Amino acid sequence: MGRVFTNLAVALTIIGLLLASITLWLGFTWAPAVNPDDWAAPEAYRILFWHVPAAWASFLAFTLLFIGSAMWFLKRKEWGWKLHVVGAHLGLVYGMCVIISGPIWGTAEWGTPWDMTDVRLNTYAILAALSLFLVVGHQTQGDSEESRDTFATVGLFGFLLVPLTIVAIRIWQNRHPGPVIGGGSEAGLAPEILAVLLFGLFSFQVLVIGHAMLVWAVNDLELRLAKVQMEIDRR
Amino acid sequence: MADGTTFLAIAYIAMIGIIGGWTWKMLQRLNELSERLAAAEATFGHAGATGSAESSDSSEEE
Repeated sequence: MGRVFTNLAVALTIIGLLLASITLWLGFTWAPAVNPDDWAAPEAYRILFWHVPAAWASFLAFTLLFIGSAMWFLKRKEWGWKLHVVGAHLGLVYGMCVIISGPIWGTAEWGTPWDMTDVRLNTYAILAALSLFLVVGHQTQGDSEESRDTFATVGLFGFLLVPLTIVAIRIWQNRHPGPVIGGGSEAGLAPEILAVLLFGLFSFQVLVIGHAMLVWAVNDLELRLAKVQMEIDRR
Repeated sequence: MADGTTFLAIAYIAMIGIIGGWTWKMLQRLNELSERLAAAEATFGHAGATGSAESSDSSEEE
């Protein structure tokens, strides 16, 4: 992997972080307050400027996980396995952001951090747990074709939870607020709030692409180092 | 009971910690691996240059 790729990964990551910081600043300074009569903790609504983009970023990560798992499992492509590793790492990072920030907001707004009867919360928690299982599994299990097959299978079937999580809010809405993008007139977001949210979604997509390239570059360096060390040992 | 702003601050601190911490860890790992690879390749290059002479010497000993 070339130096250009690594530099691009670092640059995109830094740009993504900057854009995410701008989103946060706009969310706190420019986005208007919501009607205090409609919410138990009106100020806490500003969580959505990072919570929702982080969720979308995690869905992109889980999509990479699915494509990578499929390409490894069906075609034995080495890049497929690398993509699987990238997707698992990013699914965990962004999944943790969502899983931690959501219950904190829930405590403020609902008075409880979790609702076991809410399908979306539970399917998303399983998704995050799945990425945790994969990351820990990659680190503790030896790298063999058999272990790769096992993890790829988990990645393939786990992806089924992504569309289920996305549609769950439309089919079985319980506590979690409805979709803010594509939610129709019910979403009812002020134009400024929607603008900041869209900017946040863009920021996190840039960040997740930068992060994906960063993990790819690290992975590549690890493989190259292992190869060179094997050559040295052989001499 | 803390108000909404406190919960909001805690949530953002947690997310900044996760994303910032993980990014920092990955950048450090990238630097560390680049340095180790450069050192290993330098050693390998050195071994490659002297390797043929060493192997012909050692083959006589074996």
